[in-house]
Amino acid sequence: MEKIKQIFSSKRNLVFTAVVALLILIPVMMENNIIFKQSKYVYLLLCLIGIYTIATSGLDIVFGYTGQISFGHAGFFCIGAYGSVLLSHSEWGLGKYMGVTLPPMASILTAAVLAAVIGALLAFPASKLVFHFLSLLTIAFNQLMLLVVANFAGLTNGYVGITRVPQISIFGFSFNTVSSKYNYYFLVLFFVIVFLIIKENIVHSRIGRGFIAIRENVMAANGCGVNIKSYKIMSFAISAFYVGFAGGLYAHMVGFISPDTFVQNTSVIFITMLLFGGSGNLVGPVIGAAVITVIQEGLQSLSDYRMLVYGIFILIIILFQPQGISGLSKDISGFIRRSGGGKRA
Amino acid sequence: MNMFISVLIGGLVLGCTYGMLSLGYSLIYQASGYMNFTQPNLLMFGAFIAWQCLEYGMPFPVALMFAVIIMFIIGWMMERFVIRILVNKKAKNVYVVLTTLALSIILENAAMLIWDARPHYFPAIFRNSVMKIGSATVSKESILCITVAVCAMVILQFFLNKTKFGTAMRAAAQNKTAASCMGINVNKTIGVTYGIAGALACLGGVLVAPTLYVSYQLGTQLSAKSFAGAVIGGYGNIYGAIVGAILIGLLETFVSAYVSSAYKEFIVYGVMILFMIFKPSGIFNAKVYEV
Amino acid sequence: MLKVTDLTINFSGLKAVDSLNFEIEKGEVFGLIGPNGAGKTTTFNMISGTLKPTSGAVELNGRRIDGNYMYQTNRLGVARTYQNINLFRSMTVLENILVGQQSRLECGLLAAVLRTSKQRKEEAKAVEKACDILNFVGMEHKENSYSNSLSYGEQRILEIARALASDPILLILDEPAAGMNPTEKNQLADLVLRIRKKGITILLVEHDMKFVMGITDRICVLNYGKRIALGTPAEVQADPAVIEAYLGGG
Repeated sequence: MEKIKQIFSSKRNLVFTAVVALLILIPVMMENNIIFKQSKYVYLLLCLIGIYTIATSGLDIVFGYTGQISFGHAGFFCIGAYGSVLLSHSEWGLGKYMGVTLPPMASILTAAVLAAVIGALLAFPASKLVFHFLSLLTIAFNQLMLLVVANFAGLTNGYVGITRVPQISIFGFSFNTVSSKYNYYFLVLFFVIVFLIIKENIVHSRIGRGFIAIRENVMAANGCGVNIKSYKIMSFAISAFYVGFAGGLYAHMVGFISPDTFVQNTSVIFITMLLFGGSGNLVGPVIGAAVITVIQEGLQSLSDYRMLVYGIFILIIILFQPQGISGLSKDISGFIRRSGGGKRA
Repeated sequence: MNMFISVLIGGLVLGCTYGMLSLGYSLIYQASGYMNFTQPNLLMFGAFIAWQCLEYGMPFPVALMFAVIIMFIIGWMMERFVIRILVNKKAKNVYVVLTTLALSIILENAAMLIWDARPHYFPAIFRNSVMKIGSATVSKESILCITVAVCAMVILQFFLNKTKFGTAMRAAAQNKTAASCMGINVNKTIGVTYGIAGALACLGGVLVAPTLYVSYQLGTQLSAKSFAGAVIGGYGNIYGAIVGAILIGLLETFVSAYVSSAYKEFIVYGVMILFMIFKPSGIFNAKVYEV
Repeated sequence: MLKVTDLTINFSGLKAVDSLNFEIEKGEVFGLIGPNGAGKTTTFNMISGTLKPTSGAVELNGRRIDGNYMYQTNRLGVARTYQNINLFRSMTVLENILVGQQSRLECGLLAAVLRTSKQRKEEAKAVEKACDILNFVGMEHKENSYSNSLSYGEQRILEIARALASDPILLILDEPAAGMNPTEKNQLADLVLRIRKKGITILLVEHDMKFVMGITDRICVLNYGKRIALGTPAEVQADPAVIEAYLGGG
């Protein structure tokens, strides 16, 4: 009873619960033709938004909270996707060489852990360097991952990619995405909620404060007892876990992966999502992922113009509103407070 | 022996191209403390402009000059109208670097839309395109590239060390406040620095274009290795930029010729990452550590 | 408690601090003064771990701390404030003080992720302690303000509060009174004495002579990186070498 009361104690939690309820109810009603027309495409879109929300939230931890640049997060997306596929596919990777496979859910988890380990390894040297170098290191990392999956064709089938990625099923309940992404949507929604809650918990704890302190003022953080190197490594590892997990979910949803998905441009898209939505808070990555994913799909016919649009987006956002959309609400509430405020003690 | 010479020349051509980029990185880093991702795409854009001029029938030297001047202006404008705004707003470093990335993407995709996505081939500059060194056959364009690049480096050194404005640029790069107290217009020197970097990039692009080709992806393909060269030589150090770039160019071509073409990317990235981990200050010991 | 032996730091040929020696007793208020550029902040930086000395030693209760990372020295009980204000701007006053407690809180990542009851209890206690510190420094009711809505004097006090949050045995204050008006300086002096009453040793650098002389037990005077005098305020004020350093010779 205490716990339930606690959940409904703050207005924020109420809003969160209401939104989640809507996110569950509306698709159910759609699927059963109660409202709108059932559209399979919508579920795909929602799944993508969810997956990118997890990935962008991960990037937010390293960029928005700890203030470290990473231009190579698609590399972790790649590790998560290829890792999960190679661990669960019967014809590639583990299945091919050792005749054993992991069930897809377990493979996603393992791949995410692997991504976290590599993220920590990457952060070791990175944590000492001036951030310019960090940006170069992360780009090199992205490129290296791409080269690995593209060139070791025996392992990954190179540029051709791997098809017939196994579908997820948990306790017999199938999340098969071949015919409809409806079931998969609820799986993704579940993980989005879990990952967002975990992010909130981390951010409001001693660890999260350490991250923010590093972002704000490294020297002062050091003086307050924050072990800078260790926290930077932790930040990268957590972030990599998020993005890797998202990569795994992505692979098993689409059913096919190839190196083209994990190019530098994908890292740029993650950054666009984060900057657009706003970094350093809970809803920013969600907004960014949602809007940019819709734009992505909407611009399919104009795919040549896509990256140009993103480049212009990033430029405009940085020049005029670096806090992104979620920053607007702070600006607005600040404005209201100031204009209606009157006297303050 | 023949193969050795042609591989050597090939490596030097690439090395000089990376060198033009790396010099730009070093100049900008010294002058403003920022890393700049636009250089490789300025190279590509400059090459396209020159190509377009040649298509209109301009003679090669004129096309080259024209492109270089345009890219100087574009480089200068980027600083004046984008970077400076952020610096004046006291934006965090992260955002400035991201902006250069955004500008780079805009350049790349603009080029793709203006001149379409297929590779364009540069017409031969010399009527009789090949010459002999010893018994090896090399293209005259390659020799031109290396010669012009070396000349550019020498002229740059002279400009920076022996002219009044060049010295002002160096002073402003070392200490903005002190320099402006001495009457140096720091905004102007920084603007010119970015302009020179753009011009160098363009020069590199036009010189390497006959040997490679011109496409909107040219910049991206060269960028990673040019950064590798800058890092290995010591990011921010002028001599380091040249030495590192040439080393990478040679490494890349020798590995590609004598080992395997597929592995050359791995080796270049591998070497860069190793340097970043174990000797980030590079050969010439530039300062790179944070707190 | 703190012993500095032959401390030297060499910046490409310039000896910013040269063979400095002094010892601070537990519970005293120790001042470090000298003309601009004498090496005071550099000395602080070597003690707190920001800089590594070229030679010499810094010992805290017998244990060498020179060359440590700042967070290591902080864990051992040394906390400091800075000449330029180094608050965490996007955090509230309360959160700034919570960061100060970083080395004294125990719960790690897993506990944070799972929000175990141990972690929640620890956080609640930390918040309570932060409020206590705010009361102690005289800034109660400001927990949820942001640092840019505080006055300059209050920001300096907040830095001290944040330093106190790590339960230090040695508190280093780098020009705590800089930019304060006389009322604020009196409140600061009062605060320093209250901190001393809690048993915390204090090392401070200040330019305001009246402030320093009124509050310290002993003073060390630096000039060009070397120690030129060490003693009680009265002794130091009368020392001819000190007078010459401040007013110039002849």
